[in-house]
Amino acid sequence: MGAILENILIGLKEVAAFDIIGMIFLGVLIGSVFGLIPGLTATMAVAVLSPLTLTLDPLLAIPFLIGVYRGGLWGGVVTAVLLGVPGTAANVPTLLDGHPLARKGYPQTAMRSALYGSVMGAVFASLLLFTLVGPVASAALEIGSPELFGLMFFSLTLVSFLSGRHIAKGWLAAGLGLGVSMIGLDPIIGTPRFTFGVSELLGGVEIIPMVIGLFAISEIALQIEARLMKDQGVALARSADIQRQPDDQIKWRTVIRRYWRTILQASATGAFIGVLPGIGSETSPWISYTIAKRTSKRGANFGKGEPEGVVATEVSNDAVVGAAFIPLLVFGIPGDLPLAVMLGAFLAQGLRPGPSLFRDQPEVMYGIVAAVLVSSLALYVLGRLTISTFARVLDTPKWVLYPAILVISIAGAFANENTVFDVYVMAFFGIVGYLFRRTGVPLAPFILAFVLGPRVEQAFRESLLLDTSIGVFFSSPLSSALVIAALLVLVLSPIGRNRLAGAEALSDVEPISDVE
Amino acid sequence: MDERPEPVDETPSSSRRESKGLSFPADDRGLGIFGLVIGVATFFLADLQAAASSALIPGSENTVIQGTFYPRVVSVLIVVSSIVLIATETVRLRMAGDPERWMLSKLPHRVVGASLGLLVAVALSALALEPLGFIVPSAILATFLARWFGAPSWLKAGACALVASIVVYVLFTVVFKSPLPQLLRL
Repeated sequence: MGAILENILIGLKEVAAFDIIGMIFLGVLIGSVFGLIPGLTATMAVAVLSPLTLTLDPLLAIPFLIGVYRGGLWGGVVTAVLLGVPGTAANVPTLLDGHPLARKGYPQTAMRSALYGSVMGAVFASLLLFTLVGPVASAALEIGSPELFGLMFFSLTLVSFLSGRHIAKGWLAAGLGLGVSMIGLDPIIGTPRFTFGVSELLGGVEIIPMVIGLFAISEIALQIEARLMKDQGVALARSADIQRQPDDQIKWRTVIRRYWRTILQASATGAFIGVLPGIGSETSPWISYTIAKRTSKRGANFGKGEPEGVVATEVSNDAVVGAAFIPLLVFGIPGDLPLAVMLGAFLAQGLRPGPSLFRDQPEVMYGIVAAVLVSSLALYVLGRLTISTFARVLDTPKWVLYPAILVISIAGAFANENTVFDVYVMAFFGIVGYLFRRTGVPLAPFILAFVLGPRVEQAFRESLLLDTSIGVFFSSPLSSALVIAALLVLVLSPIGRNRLAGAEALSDVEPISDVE
Repeated sequence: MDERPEPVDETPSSSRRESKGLSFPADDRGLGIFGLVIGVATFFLADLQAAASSALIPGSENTVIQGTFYPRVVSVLIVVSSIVLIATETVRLRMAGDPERWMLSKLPHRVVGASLGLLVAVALSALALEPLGFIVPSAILATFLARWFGAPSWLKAGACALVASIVVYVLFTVVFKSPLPQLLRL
């Protein structure tokens, strides 16, 4: 305990300088602006701004980039909540409850829930960084392909809980998501697969244009539909003007008192996934959201504008960010895409992350760890200052707002890979999203399966390369336990659902992904 | 906070009786049939993929088999969930006699057409991005959309669209150094 406190003091002493704290605040601010624009991701922000930091001292450059990364994630939350347009893939689950909550007239509640969740998740992960930096990373390194497949397979079975009333529709959506994720190069052999001769598909379907299409473009199509129905005298919630509610506030204490179980669960989930290299920040909020939906007494409200859903995803999102620094700093293994870009900045600064760096330059390393903690403070301060300004976006007339979203979406899809092809992808998935939402097919399982698909396949096939028999997945206690748990979820979840349906008689729980 | 107003009913119940639905089979069995077609197609495409791979990399049969196996597993998942969907919907029909109609089928043709028309317009504007530059297709599309959403006049709609397009262009290209097609190319 004494050593941990000593490490914290070393780190805080290093960053307790006006210029370093200023750089962290600046990074969060710039990152937020990036994250506000669909198509510009936290990864892109770190990549674009890394070259600007080459001439700076490492303890200025790296904290700045950490701020950019954190700000990028926060900016994506704002657009997801207010406009229903996820800034990054990790913000998609936040949208499921954040946007309906904003549409009910509680935009500040939604954003404050997200902000408090983010800060709590990050503080938890920062403390974890200080305490478990060595042992957890060592344990994560022991995980091989069969164990990784077990974990991915188990995560995929969570689709059962994301499917709302129709489990078959959920699995159909998941199957289609896995199918779309197979487009591109075969991960083992490297030959084209399901590309139909289209060279732009060799790299696979890009997630950013896809989610912009599924959410933003289909939302505009639904708005058009709602307006036409309104012209016919039919009242639709979608076409109704948003009335800001007078009690649109939520306090720290309220969030902690009401949702402490979810906060602990999401922190632990995010931290666990963050230390596992390769799973990425997109997976953990889905898992936390699903667990929270399953375990919370407010679970039936999830997907309809439940603040607990927002807290679950944002705590997890930021816990994963902090925890992902553990394998990065100790072993030089980035647990996430933006951290992979940041690893380049470390190397450019002459810092080669590893155990020896903690021994040789503990001030710098613990200073960087402390910067993760301080970036939470910066996020909190800037978030609180800007939330009410951002909330006014909802007061903008629709004839200004939706054309602007459309133009930003087109530019965002194009800027993702600097190609018109991604705008076609966006339009295509706009149609898919519209049809999914109008036929009651949930979007959440589709996206979860798309995100997990390549990782599931990679782990599955690498395991079979080790041993062609199916027994490879039961070769260790961890992989056996995960595969068995996944199979149990697959078999038992429909039975549990039927019992629940019997108990609830004809209660109608909407699919959570059908964001209305 | 706990006392939230109930959302307005989204179901256009009054139009349900008056408007004509689409003639396409509009219950979950139709969705299941669509899934079935996609699943079967994926299964056979995986075989074609395997044949192409073994031609490219001779002697890698074992790896190729694994390469075929995974897409087949995915296709089986799609097929099975589609069959379950068809079966459950058929059982529901027999028991209740009331198919669960899609929201799509409850909407007039004009409404679905307009929504899908927007998506086609987005694709068309993407086609025009490179030959005409960023500003022309995006501003035209945004002008029509602004007017559709109730802009007071064509002039205001056009001005709003033009300003939005220019601001977005400057934001991406100047502030964030993120490349977009040329602003104007005529």
